[in-house]
Amino acid sequence: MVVNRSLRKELLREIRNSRTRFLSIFLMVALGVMFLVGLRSAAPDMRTTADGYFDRAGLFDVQILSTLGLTKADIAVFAQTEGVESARGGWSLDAVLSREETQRIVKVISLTGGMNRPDLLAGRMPEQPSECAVDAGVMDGAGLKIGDTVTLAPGENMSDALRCRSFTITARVNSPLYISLDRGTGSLGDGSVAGFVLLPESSFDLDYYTAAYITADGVLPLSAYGDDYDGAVKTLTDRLENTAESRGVLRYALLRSEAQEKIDNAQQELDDGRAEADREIADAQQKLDDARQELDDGWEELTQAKQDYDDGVIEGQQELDDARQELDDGWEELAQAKQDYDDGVIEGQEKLDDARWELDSGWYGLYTAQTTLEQSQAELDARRTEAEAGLEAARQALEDSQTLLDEKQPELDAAQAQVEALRTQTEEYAAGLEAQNAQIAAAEAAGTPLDPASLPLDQQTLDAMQAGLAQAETALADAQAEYDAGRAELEAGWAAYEAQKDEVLGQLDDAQAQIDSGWQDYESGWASLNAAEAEYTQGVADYEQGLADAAQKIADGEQELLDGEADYAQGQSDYETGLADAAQEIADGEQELLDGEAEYADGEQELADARQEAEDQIADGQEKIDEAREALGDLKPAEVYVLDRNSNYGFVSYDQNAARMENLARVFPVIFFIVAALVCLTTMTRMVEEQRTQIGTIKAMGYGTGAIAAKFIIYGVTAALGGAVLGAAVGTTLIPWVIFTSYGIMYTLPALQIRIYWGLILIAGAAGVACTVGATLWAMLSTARLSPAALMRPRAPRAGKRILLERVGPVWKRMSFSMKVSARNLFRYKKRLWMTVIGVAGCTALLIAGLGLRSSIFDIIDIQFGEIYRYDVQMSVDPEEPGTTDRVERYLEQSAGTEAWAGANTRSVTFEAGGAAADGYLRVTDDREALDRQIDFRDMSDKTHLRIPEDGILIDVKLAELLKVGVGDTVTIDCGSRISVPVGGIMEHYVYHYACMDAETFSRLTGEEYAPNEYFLTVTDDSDGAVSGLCGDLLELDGVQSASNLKSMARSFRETMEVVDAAVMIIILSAAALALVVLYNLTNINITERIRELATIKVLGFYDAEVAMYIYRENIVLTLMGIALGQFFGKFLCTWLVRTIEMDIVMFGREAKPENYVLSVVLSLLFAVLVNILMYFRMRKIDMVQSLKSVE
Amino acid sequence: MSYIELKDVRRIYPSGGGEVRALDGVDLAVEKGELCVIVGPSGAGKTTVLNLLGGMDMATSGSIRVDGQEISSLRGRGLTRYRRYDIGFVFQFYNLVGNLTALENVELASEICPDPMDAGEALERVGLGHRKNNFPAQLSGGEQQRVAIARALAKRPKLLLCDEPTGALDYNTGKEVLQLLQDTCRKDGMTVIIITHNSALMPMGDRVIQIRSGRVSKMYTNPEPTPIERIEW
Repeated sequence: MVVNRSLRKELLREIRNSRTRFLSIFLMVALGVMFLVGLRSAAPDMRTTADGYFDRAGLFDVQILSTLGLTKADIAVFAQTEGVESARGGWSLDAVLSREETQRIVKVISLTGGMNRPDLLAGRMPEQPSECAVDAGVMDGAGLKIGDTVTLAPGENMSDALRCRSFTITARVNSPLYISLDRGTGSLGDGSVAGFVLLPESSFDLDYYTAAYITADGVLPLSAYGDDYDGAVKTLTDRLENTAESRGVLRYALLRSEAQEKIDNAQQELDDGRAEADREIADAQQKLDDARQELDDGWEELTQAKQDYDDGVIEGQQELDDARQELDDGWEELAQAKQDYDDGVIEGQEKLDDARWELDSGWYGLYTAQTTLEQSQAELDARRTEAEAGLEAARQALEDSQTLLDEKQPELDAAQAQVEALRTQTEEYAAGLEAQNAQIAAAEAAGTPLDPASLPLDQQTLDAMQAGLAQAETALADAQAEYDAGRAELEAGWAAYEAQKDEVLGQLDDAQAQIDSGWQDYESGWASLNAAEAEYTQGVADYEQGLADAAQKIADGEQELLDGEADYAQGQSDYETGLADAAQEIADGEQELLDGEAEYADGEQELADARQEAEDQIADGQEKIDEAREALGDLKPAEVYVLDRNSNYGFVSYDQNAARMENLARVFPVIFFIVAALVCLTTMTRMVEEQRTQIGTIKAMGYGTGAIAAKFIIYGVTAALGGAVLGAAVGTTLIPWVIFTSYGIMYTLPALQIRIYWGLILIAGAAGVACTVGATLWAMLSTARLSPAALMRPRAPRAGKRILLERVGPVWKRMSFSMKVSARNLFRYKKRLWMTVIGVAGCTALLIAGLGLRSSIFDIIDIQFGEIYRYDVQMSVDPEEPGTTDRVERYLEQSAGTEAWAGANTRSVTFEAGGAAADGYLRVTDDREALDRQIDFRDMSDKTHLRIPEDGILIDVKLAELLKVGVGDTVTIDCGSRISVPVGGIMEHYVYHYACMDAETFSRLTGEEYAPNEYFLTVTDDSDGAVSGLCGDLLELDGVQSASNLKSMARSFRETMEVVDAAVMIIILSAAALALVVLYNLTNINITERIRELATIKVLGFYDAEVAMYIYRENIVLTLMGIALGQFFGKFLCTWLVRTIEMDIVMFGREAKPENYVLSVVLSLLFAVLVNILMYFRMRKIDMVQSLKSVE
Repeated sequence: MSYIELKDVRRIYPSGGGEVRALDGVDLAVEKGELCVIVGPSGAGKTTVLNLLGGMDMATSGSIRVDGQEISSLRGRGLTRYRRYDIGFVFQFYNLVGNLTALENVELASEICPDPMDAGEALERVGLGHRKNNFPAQLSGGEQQRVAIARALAKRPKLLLCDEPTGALDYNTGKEVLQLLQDTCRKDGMTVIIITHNSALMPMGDRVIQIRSGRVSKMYTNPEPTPIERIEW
C-alpha cells in the first residue's frame, strides 16, 4: 500500500468533510471498547486493589481454630511446619462494648504484630493494655470519638479474658479481616456483630490462644484471588491439618488433669460451707421464738382497750340523746308560737280592715253631703238672682211710672195756666164787648151808629172764646183726673212691690239658713271623721308594732334553738371524733400487731428460705461439682479447624462481586460491537459508492487497488482507533471507578488501584478495528475490483424490484401509494433495514434492562417494607436481663399507641443443605398468629398466605435457590447447636435470608428455652412523630436495646441502593447514544443516497412535510420493528442482568413490570423522533437545483 | 398582456467579495399555447431563467407573471404550490425514481394534484402504455424521457418546462422526444418552453428567445416553424 502525500491530504479532507460519518464510527467503537475494557478491567482492578491491601496488611493465609484453644507450644510447632513463613497466636472473643447508653456487640481481636495489620485511619495504635482501636463503622454508628473510654464485657465463658474493663480509644481503624460491611455473627445477643475492637496482646489474660494466624512462604507475589495462590495455600493447609490434629490431642490430656484438681478443691469448700450454714440457721430460730412472746402480750393489751372503748360508746350516746329531746321540745314550742303569731296577724288585719271600711263609708257620706250642699247653694243663688232681677224689674217699672207722672205735672200746670190765661182773655173780651156794646149802644144811642165792621169786638168771637174757654177747662179737668188716677195707681204699685219684695227675700233667707245649717253639719262630720282617721292610723301602727314584737320574739326563740342544735352537733362530732380516734388507736395497735405477725411470718419464711437456700446452694454446689465431674467425663477431644481465607466472608463475597462484573463484560460490549460493525459496514459502503467515480479516476491515473483501498481502510481505522483510544481511556478509568465506588458502600478498602490492561485494550481495540476494516473491505472489494472505465461510468441505477408483498394482491392494493413506495424502499436496502432494526432493538433492550434493573431493586424495597413487613416498629430486647419479657409485654398490652404486637427470637445462623451453605437468620416465635399479623408470609407467585409449619421451617425463595432445596427437603441450621429441619414452605422475602420456626419445635430440637429478643409492633398512629415518640418511650424500658421505625429503615435501605441509579443512568445514556448514532447515521445515509430523488420530488411540488414523510415513513416502520424486536431482547437481557448483579443476601424483584416496557418504547420513540427532527432541517435545505445535475 | 411575462428580471448572487449577475434585466413574453425555445451558450443565464420560471429560485428584482399570477412575490409554501399545480418539469436526466415503475413514477406526480390526468392515459399519450409496469432501469433513455414527459403532463400544468430534454439522448431519440413535445403543444394547446444550448432547435419554436450574458439578446416569433423532421444538428 502506497499512500502518498496527496492521498493523505485527500484523506484528511475527507474526514473533515464527513465529520458525522467519521464520528459515528468513532463513537460506536468507543462505546464498544469502553464497555469491554471497563467491565473487564473492573474485576481485576477490584482484585488487585484488595490483594495489595491484604499484602500490605499481612493478612493471614491460614488460620487455625481449636475448640479447646491453642497454647504457645502449639504456635511454636506451627511455626516450625514446612511452608509456614510465620505463625502467631491471637485472641478473638465476643464482647459487649458500651459507653453510657450505647451498646454494641463486637468481636474483640488481638493485635497480632505483623499480621492482620489494621488500616490506621486516625489516631495511633494502642500500646497499653487499657487502650484499644475501634472499627470505623462502629465508631460512626455508635458516635464514638478517639479519646473516649468504653467498657468491654466479654461473654460469660470468657468473662475473665481481659485484664481491664475500660479502654481508651486511641485509633480509628479498618481491618483486612473485615473488608465487607457484614461483620459476621457472634455468640452474644441476637448474634449479629456490629464490628470489631482491636486490643494489644497485653490486654488479654488467657492462658491459651483462641486462634493461630499463619502466613505461607512465598505467596506474597501471588494474587490472592488467583489459582496459584489457592494451590499453594491448599498444600499448606493439608500439612497443617495433620500437625494441628496431634496438638489437639495433647491439649485435651492436659486439660483433663487440670480439671480434676479443681473439682477436688471445690468439694472441700462445699463441705465447709455446709457446716457454717447449719450454725447460722440455729441462731435465727432463737430470735424468732422471742418475737412470738412479744406478740402474744400485745394481743392481750389490745383486747382490754377494745372493752374500754365499747363502754365509752354507750355513755356518750345517752347524753347526746337527752340533749336531742330538749332541742326537739324547744322546736315544738317555737312552732306553736309561730302558729299563734300567724293567727294574731290574721285577726288584727281583719279588724283593721273593718275600721278602714267604716272610715271609708264616712268619708263617702261626707263627700255626698258636700256635693248636695254645694248643689243647693248653687240653686239658691240662682233663685236669689232670679228673684232680685224680678224685683228690680218691678221697681224699675214703678220708677218709670213715677217718672212719667212727674213729667205730666208741669204739663198740667201749663194747661192750667193756659186755661187761666184764656179765661182772663175771654173775661177782658167780654168786658171789652160789653164796653163796645156799651159804646154802640152809646153810639146808637148817640146815634151815631158806629159801623159794625169798625167795631173790634163782636159777640161771636166772644162766644167762640167762651166756648174755647169752656173746652180748655174740660180738657184740663180730664188731664187732672187722669193724673190723679195714675198717681193713685203708682202708690198702689209701690205698696205691692214692697210686699212682694219682703216675701221673696224672706223665702230666700230661709233657704240660705237651711244650707248654712247643712254646712254646719258637714263641718262637724268632717271633723269627727278626721278624728276617726287618726284613730285608725294609730290602730294600724299599734298593730304593726305588736306584730314586729311578736316576730322578734319568735326569731329570738329560733336562734336560741339553732344555737342549741349547733352545740348538739358539736357535741356529737366531738363524740364521734373521740370514738374514731379511739378506734384508730385500737386499729393501729391491731395493725402493729398484725405487722408484727407478718414480720414474724416473714422471718419464719426467711428462715425456711435460708434453710432451703442453704440446702439448695449446697445441692447446687454439689450438682456443679457433679456436673464438673461429668463434664470432665464428657470433655471431648479438641476439634481443630484449619481455615484459609475463603472462610472470610468479605474476602469471598468481594470476589463474587468482581466475577459479576466479568459476567456483565461478556454481553454488554457485544451489543455495541455488533452495532459498531453494522454502522461501519453501511457507512463505508456508502462512502465507497459515493466515491465511485473518484476511485475510477484515481485508478485510471495508475494507483493500485491497494492504495485506493488504503484510503478507506485508513479512514475506518483512524475512526476506530480514535474510538478505541477514547473507549479504552474511559473504560480503564471511569467504569472501574464507578463500579468500585458503588461497591464501596459495602466494602471498606483503600482507593482503587487502576491498572492498564494492555492486552485487554489491544484485544478490544483490535476488535473495534477489525469491525471497521472488515466492513470497509467488504464494501470495497466489489467496487475496487472493477476497471476504471466501469467505475467512471455512472453506476447503473439500482434496478427497481418487485417485492414479495406485491404478490399478495389484497394487501398491496389496499396500501396507499406512499406506503407502497416506502415498502419497496425498505426492502430494497436490506443492510440498512437490519442495521436500523438491530440498533433500535439494542437501544430498547438496554432501556428495558436498565429500567428493569432499577425497578427490580426499588420495587423490592416497597414490597419488603410495605407489603411483607406490616409492622411499624421493630424493637430488640435483652432477654438475659431479668424480667424483661414480662415488663415489655405488659407495657405493650397497656400502651395506647400499640395496636398489635408479636415477639420473636431471631439469631444469626448458617444454613446448610447438600454442600451449599448460606448465612441468614433463624426467627422463632411462640405465637405464630400474632407474628402472622406483623409479617406477611406469602407465596411468591400466587401470593397465597403461608403459615409457619408446626414441624418445620418457612424459608425465603432466594435461600431455597442457594441451598437448592424445595418443600419437604431437609435443611441443617447451625445455631449454636446443629439441627436439621424439613422445609415446610417457601416464602416471598427479599432482604437477607430468614427461616421461621415455631418455638416448640425449636425447644424440642435444641433443648433451649424460648425467650423473645425482638418485638414487632403495629401502631395506631403511624405518623413519624407518633412513632418516634413511641420508640423513645420503649427505649426507656429496662432491657430494651433498640426500637426503630420501619419507615426510616426502609429509607436508609433505599439510600444504600441509590448507587444503582448511577449504573442505570449509564445504561440509559448508552442506549440513547446507541439509538442516536444508529438512527442518525442511517437516516443521513438514506438522505445522501437519495438526495437526487428528494430534490426531484421537491421540484414536483411536494411540500416540506411530504418530503420529510417520504423518508420518515421508512424510519418509523424500521423503528417500530426495532422496538418490537427489542422487547424480546430486553426481556432476556433484563433477566440476565438482574441475576448477574444480584447479591447472595438479597433477592431482586423478578417480575417484569409493564411500565418499563412502555417506558422503553416511549424513550426509544423519543430518540427516534429527536433524530428525525434533526433530519427535517437537513432535508429542508436540500437544493432543488441538484435535480438538474447529471448522475455522478 | 402575455401569458408569461418577465420584466426587468435580475438575479444576483453574492460571490466572494463581489457579486455575480446571472440575470441582468431580462424582459420576455410568451403567449399561451406557444412552443418557445430559449437558447444561449453555457453560462448565459438560461438555466437561471428556467429556475425562476420553475419556481425553484427567486428573482432578486423584477416581475415574473404566469397566467396573471405574480410569481416573483411567492415564497416558501406558495412557491411549492406553484410548482405543484402550475408547472410540469422535464429534466435533462429524466430524474425518474428508480424504485418505482413507469406507471408509479407518473402516479407520483398525479397523487399530489387535485385534477390529474389518469396515469395510464398519460403513458398512452407518450406511447408507452405497454411499458407501464417496467422499472426505469428496464427502459431506454428515450423511453425514460417520455415517462418523464408523461409525469409532467399528468399534472395538467399551465406550463411545460423542459431543461435540455434531448441533452442525454442520441440524435434520433432526441428527435422523437422533440416531436412529442411539439405534438403536445399543437394538439393539447400546452405552453411549452424548451431551454437548450443547441441553437439548431431554434427553427422549431413558435417563439425564439436568445439569451446572452444575462440579457435577452433577441426575441422573435416564427410564423412558420420548421417541422422537427427537417431539423438537423
